[in-house]
Amino acid sequence: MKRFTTLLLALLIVLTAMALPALAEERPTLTMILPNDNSVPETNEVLTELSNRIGADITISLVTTEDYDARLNTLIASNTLPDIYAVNDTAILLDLRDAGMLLDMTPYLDEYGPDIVEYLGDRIEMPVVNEGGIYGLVSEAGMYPANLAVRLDWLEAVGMEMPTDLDSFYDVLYAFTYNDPDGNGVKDTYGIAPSMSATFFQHIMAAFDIPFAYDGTVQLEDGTVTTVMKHPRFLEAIEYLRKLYQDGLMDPDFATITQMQSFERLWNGQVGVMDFQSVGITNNWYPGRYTFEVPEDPGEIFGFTSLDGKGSRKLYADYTTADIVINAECEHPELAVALVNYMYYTEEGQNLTYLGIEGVHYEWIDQEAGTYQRLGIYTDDVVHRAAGAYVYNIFGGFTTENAETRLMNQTTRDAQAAEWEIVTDWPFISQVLEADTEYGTTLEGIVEECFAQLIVTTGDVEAEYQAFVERWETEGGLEFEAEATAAYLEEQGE
Amino acid sequence: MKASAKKKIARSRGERIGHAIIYTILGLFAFSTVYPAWHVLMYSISESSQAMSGGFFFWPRGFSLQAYEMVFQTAQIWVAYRNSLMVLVVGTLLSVVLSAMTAYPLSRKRLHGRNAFSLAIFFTMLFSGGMIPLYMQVYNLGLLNTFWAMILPTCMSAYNMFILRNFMQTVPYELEESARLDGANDIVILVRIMLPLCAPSLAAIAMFYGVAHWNNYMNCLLYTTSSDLQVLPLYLRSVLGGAAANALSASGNLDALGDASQMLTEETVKMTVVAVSIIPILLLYPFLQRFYTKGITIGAVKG
Amino acid sequence: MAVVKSERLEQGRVKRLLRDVRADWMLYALLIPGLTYFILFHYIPMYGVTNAFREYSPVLGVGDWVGLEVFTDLFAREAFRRALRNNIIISLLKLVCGFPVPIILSLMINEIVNRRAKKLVQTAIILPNFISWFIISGLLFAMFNVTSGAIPGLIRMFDPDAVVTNVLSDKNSIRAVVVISYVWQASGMGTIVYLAAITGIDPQLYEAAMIDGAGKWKQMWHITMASLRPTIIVLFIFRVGAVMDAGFDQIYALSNALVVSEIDIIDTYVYSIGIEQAKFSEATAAGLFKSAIGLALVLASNYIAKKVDPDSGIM
Repeated sequence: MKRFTTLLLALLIVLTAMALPALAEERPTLTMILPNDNSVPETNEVLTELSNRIGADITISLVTTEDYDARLNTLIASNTLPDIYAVNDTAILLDLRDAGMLLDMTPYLDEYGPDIVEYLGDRIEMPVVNEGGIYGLVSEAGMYPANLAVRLDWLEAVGMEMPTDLDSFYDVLYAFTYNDPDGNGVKDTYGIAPSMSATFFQHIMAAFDIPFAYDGTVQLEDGTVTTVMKHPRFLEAIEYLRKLYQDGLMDPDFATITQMQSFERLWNGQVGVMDFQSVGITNNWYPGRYTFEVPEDPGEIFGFTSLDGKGSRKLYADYTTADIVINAECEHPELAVALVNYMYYTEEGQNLTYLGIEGVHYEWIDQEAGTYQRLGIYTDDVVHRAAGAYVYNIFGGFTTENAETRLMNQTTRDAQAAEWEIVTDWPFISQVLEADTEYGTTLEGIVEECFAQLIVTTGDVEAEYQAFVERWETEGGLEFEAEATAAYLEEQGE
Repeated sequence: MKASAKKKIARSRGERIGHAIIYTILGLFAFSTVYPAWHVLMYSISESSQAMSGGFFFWPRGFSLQAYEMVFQTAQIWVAYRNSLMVLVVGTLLSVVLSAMTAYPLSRKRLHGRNAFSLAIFFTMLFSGGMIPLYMQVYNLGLLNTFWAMILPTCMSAYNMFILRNFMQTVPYELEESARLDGANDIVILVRIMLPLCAPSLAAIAMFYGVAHWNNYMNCLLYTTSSDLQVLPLYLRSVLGGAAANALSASGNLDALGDASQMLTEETVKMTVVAVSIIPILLLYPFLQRFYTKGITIGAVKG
Repeated sequence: MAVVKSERLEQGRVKRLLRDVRADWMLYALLIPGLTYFILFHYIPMYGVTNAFREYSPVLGVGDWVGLEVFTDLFAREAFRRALRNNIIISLLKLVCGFPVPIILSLMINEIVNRRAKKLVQTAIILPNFISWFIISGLLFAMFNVTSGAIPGLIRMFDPDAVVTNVLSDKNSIRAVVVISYVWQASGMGTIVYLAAITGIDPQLYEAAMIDGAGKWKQMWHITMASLRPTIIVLFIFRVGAVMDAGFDQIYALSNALVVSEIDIIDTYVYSIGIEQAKFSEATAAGLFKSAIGLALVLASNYIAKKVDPDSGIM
């Protein structure tokens, strides 16, 4: 009997000893869903490390960007929302707030979100949802204006200088098309090969003072805020593009090719000029992607310029959505705020979620200059991501200066900095316009159709233009105009 | 005698010309339909940098299995493949059984309420309540995050059921009657007589169900959150999306890839992914095709 | 007296019904799982269609009834009317051009004597079904683009000065591209049911016809086509029910700014207005409208089918 008691006691002690650390490790949990096109195991090294640093068991589900809204709507309908998520739809965002389903972060920010407060300053009020409290955060990352990139070796081959205005630009495009810039004796090149993305036309349009986007706005002389299509010089710009199209300086299939195909023409050496963010052209610097010899340094082959010194359309963060909101029912709001603060707003957290664990996944070559190398098996992209790096923070953080921008090469950084100096501003409105919610997509579609159609049409350009403008106005454009003008005046007055 | 011989020759010549025309048309059509799949396969094993110039792919340009390595490298794809195969097998079986069970009674003219039932089922082909109400139903049934959530909500198609019912209606009533005289009940008749006679149409709807289950990712997307339950099409979607995001996003974290051999374009990955996802269906089809062998079934039963 | 009689008749009918139901209890039992499925996953969630008539937000749930306001709003938009027009044109073209092709193909395949060749063709023609429209549209681009496309290249070989246009960005040709590529892509899958039906035809019928001296054409017409007729009618009615589904994936992949005015359909329109602003009511209303057209057409074609042949039709 005595022996039995001893045994029992011993067993009890062992069990307690085993259970104790488990009890001690019982941590709060945080759940999060992100719109993101990656797929990783549910537990991975980066997530474990992040959990340890925050002191909570963190689960992050990734939902493909395209399907995110559908997924979120079902989670809302069944009231099974996670602690932290993003909302892309303004109406739903405001409904969520009004229904009291979003956490007001205000009481937690000073203690748990110091970096958020410090970085955003007054801008924290900007998101439309932040009325009467801080309910949502908006990412300011990835705002890269377009740069006009020109092949330097081609300029040399055709014996020309860097173009700086519309006339010299036309001449260079002409030479790139007909003077055999690649020296292969065959006419197989174009000046430009844009796709329909508005990014590809930034500098040409800017030269006519148009901050170009299909849903873009301009302010007319009488103060009216309206579509770029009604800009007084819109037809002038179209005429210039028509000339490029008719003279064969531009890929005639621009309306059917995708952005990727446009890039492939660059990589294949079929095109000498590209209007796109320098981060896409020179920072994505994989010499192996090109089918011809390119130097190690992208600055040796691509130069950047602007036409008449005018830059591409100025970018603003999208304050009508929220990249982060916290569930009002979150059990540990302070930890949720701390997590967001750490992974998106601190350099340490950005590095962890973007590059992985220092010494395990990567090491710095020169942290100041933003050069590093990945270690061992993690040089492989798939392995690196399976470990949880990059996937939770594909833009390197919510700040304009973040892990992504810190790691850019010098050519790219210089081009971006120079472009920001000359960007073309436009009447930005931070509030939500009802007419925009109601007719926005239709109106944008009309402008895009008009733009493509006018470039290729063999009919009467003027008459077709008038028809498009009229359609725009009757399909809700006039309402938009009135509302936008009033809202802009009001915001300017403040 | 002479005349009839002549007629015979003439007819067979006409037939021969007819056959020649048929063979040519089918040959051309088959070529045009094979090419895209061939294109996908050839592109996927070409070297990305060479494949990029586009155009037609009758043969691979260079040779590289890098995209396959990338796609198959992760543990997740095996999880997804396993789940998809399970959904395919279990789902198709369940779907075919359910459809047969429903189609048989509805094919019996004597059944009271047959038209009302048919109409009620047909109605669901035209009208649907939409995504969120269906989600709520799955949620209320406690199916969220279970394997069954990927099968049950779409385990039957009114279209396929009606096709089967229609075939069952064409089976001569005498067969059922004689079986009944031998003491067979409805279930015995269904299993012993109807199903063997309907083998070709069962194979046809099994094919439709198989394809639908294999390609369905919405169930998985909406009703599950665990990556342990992820199915292949959803995984492949994320691979595609991820690859696309990389190619153009700022640094894409791909900067370690420098040399040409490491280079993979989105297009190559996309082609590989398509190739990987259609192979099981292509394997399934010839298997089902066996049921199309003409005449066997009816002859056998009629004995 | 008369009342009593009819009551008695009624009682007799009920009695007979009960007797029949009891006798066929197994058939009803077989129906239960299938009906349960349709009730659980189709009828219970069907209340969602009412969202077309009221305000709806996933957050706030269903709101006030607004009657037909959502519909009148939709029809007030020129963009929707354009999508509706395109939808009807493309749907009808697809129905008229696409429906007979699988039947003709099946008859042709049935004529192939060599079993291996037959299987090969059967497998080949279903392949496009598994290739997504994005890849098919890429291949079409490879064929038709002005710079390096195969077809423009061919044209230039014969006439170096020819002005070639890309049919994918030409308003005048895009609908033809949509319809032809649809027929090409979908016909293979369409043959499966017909081939299964042909397989089910009693070979003795052909033997008898041959003894009667019927030629190939006659056999095809009087036996094969006659046996296929119920299948054709049923598939046609189904097809008519879904006629307003003009093919979202395909149109989405083939659309561009130069041709959108010709091929924007209801589904793509709803997608584009829904993607930026969650317009649940509008999307539901547009879907309901499509369904209603489908239902009307189905009832009409079913009625006609019954008139022509009382045994045919689906109901």
